[in-house]
Amino acid sequence: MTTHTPLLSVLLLTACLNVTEERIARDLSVGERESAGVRVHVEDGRAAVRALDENQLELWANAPFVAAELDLSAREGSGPFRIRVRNALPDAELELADSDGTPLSLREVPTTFATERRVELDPPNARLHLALRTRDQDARTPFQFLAFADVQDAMPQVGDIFARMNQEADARFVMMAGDISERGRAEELERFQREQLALRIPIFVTLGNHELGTASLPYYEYFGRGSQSFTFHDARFTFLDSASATLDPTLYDWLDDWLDAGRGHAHFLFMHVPPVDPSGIRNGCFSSRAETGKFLAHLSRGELTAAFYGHVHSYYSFEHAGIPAFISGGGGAIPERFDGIGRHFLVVDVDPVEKSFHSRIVRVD
Amino acid sequence: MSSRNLHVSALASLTLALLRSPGLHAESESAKISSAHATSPCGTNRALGVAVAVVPGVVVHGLGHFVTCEPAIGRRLLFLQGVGVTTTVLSGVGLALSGASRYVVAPLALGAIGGVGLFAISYLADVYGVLSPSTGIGSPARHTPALVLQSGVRLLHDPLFPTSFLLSQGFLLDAAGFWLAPRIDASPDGRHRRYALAAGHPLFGAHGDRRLHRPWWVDLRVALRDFAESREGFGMTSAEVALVSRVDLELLGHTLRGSFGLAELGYSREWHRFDGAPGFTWDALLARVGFGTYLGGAVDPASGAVHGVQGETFFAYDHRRDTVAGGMRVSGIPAGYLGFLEQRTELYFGPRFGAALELQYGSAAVVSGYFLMRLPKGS
Repeated sequence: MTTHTPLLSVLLLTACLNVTEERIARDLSVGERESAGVRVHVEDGRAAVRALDENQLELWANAPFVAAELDLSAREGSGPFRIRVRNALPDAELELADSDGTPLSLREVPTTFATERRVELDPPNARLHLALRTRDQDARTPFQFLAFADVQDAMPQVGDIFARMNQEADARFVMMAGDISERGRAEELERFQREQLALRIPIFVTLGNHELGTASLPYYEYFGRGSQSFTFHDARFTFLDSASATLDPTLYDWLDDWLDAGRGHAHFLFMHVPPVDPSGIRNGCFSSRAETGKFLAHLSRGELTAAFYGHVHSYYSFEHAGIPAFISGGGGAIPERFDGIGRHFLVVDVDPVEKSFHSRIVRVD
Repeated sequence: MSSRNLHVSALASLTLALLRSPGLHAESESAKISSAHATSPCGTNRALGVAVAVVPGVVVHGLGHFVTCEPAIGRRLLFLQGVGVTTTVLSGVGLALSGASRYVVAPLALGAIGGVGLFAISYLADVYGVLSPSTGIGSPARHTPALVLQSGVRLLHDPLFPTSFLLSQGFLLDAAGFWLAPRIDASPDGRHRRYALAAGHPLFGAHGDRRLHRPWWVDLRVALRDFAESREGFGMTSAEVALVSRVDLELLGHTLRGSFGLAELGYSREWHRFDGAPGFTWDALLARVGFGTYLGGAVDPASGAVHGVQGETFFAYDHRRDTVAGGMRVSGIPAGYLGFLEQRTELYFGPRFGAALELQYGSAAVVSGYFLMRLPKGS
C-alpha cells in the first residue's frame, strides 16, 4: 500500500489536469435531439434545442444565422407542426425547404416579441432544411453590435441595461462574454431569458465561471455552445469557453481553424476569463503564464482584430501581443471599487471592408 | 468529493507515504515511538491523540495536544488557527466588497493566502506534534554547505504542451553572507528553456551555520528569470524581489521539534515577448506558505557525528503561475486564482551525496528527481 500510494496519487493528480473535457462533449451535443420520431440537427450547434416532439420544435438561437436539418420522416402522429425560434435578429426570416431546395409554405404565428419567430406548417414526412437568416447576412456594409458581461446576482436590475441598450438604434445584436448568472442554476438562466424579452435585439453568449456553479451545467440546454464561430456582414465572431481560466486542448485546434477562416476579415473574439488581467497581482486571468503566452501567440499569428473579455467587473482597454483587447464586466455584478466605472456596455462599430472597428463605452448608472 | 478535495487528499496521502518510507529512522527510533511514545505524559493513549488531531482536529486545531496533555501548545495552535481563519475571512470579505479592486487586492490576497497557510500549518503541526517522538523525526544539518549541486530530470504532463521532460542543472553557492543560485531547466530539443539566477542575503534571524540553531530567519531574495517556448513562439523575462523565511515551530512548544513553517512574499515584473508581435509588461504577486519537517540526522552525543540519512520534507502552496507547474486548473467558480502545490523531500545519505524528489501540481503535474552533492565550507 505504502509503495503504491505515491504513484496512485500522481495518477490521480494527472487525471484532474483537464477540467474542461466534459464541456467539449457538451458543446458537440448542442443542437442534436431526437424525440417522437422527429430528429433535428443544428449545423455547428448554433442553436440549443429547447423543445422537440411530434408537434413542435423550439430553438434558442446563439448566432445571427442558424441552419438545421429537420427529419420528420419517422414522425409519430400528424397534423400541423410548429416551429418557434427565440433570440433571433428582429429582421431575421425563417425559411423551410424540402430536400430538393423547394421552399415550403409557412403560416406565420403572431408573437409579441421582436426576437421571436413562430411558424406553422403541414409538413411532409420528409427531411427538411431550416434556415434563419437576415437578408443582409452576407453584406459587406458597416454594422454595429454591443458587448457586455457579468450580470451574476444583478439580474433584478439587468432591465436597466437592456433599456439603455434599446436606445442604440443601430445595434444588430449583443455579444455577452459570460457570467449570466450567479450559480448557473436553471431558474437563473430562465430568469435571464425572461428579462431579455425586454430587449429588441438578441444576445449571443458564452459561459463564464459562474455558470459552472451547477454541476449539471444547464447552460448548454438554455443557451447552446460555449465555443463557436460565425460570420455576419463578412466579419467573424468567435466565442471560446475560458470559464475555467484555461482552454481545453481541443479548443486550440478549433481556434486555429477559426483564425484561418477569419484571416483577411475583421475577426472578433469573445470569452469570459481573459488571458491577461491588467492587474497581474490580482490575476483574474489564465492559470498559467505559459498558457497565456501560447494563447496570445495563436491570436497574433491568426491576425485577430480585437478581443473582448469579462470576469473583471470593470472596464479596461489595452493591447496584448499587438491585439486590441477590452475587458467589459459591467453587467451589474459587484463592481471593482475605486475605479469610477459602474454598470456599462460597449458599442462597437465595424467596417468589414476596412476590417476596422471603433468602440465606445456607454455607462448605465 | 470535489476535484479540489481530491487533489488535496491525494497530496496528503503522498506526504504520509513519504514520511512512512523505510530508512528515514533508525530502528531504535521506531522502537521509541512504539513504546515510550505510545502514551502521553499524562497516560493518554497517543493513538487517540493522533485520531483526535486528524479528524475533529481539522475543525478545532490543537485538539490532539489537548488530549495528550499539552494544553499550552494546543492553545497556541488554536490561537494560530483563529488568526488564520480571521485573516482569511476578513480578506475574503474585503475582496468581495471591493470587487477585488486593483487598488487593494495585494494586501487582501496576501491576507487570504497567509490565513489559509496559518490554518494549514496549525493543523499539520497538531498532527505532527502528537505523532512524532519527543526528539522530533529529524534534525537539521549540522553545517550550512558552501556549495550544493543539483542535477536531475523533471517529468511533466501538461495537456497544453508537448514537452514531457526537462533536464535540470543548478547550484547554490553560500559565501560571504550572500547566496547565489543559478539554474537551467531545458527540454533535450531546446525548445522549452528556463533560466533563473537568484541571489539572497540574510536580513533577520540567524546567519550561516547559526541559522541551523536559531528558530527563524528572513532572507531578501532577488532573481532574474527567463522562459522561452520556441515551438509556440513566445517567451517571458522577469525580475523579482522577495522576502523568504523559515520558522522552526519548536518555538510553539517542544512537541513540534523538527518541524518548520515556510513563508515567502514578493513582487515580480514580467516582460512578455512574441515572435512577430509586440510584447507587453505585466506583474505578479509572489507568495508561498508551507509546512515541513526535518528527517533523520540523529546526532551521536559522544562524537557529534550524524547517523544515517538526514534531510527534510515540506509541503507548500506557491501562488506564482510562471513556473513549469503553472497555477492549478480547477473546475467551478474559483477558477484562475490559485497557484500550485508542491512537495519536496531531500535526503543526504552521507556528508556529501543525496537525492531529492519534488512533486508539483498546477496546470501541469511535475515529478522531478535530483541528484544532490554538497561541499562543506572550507573544503
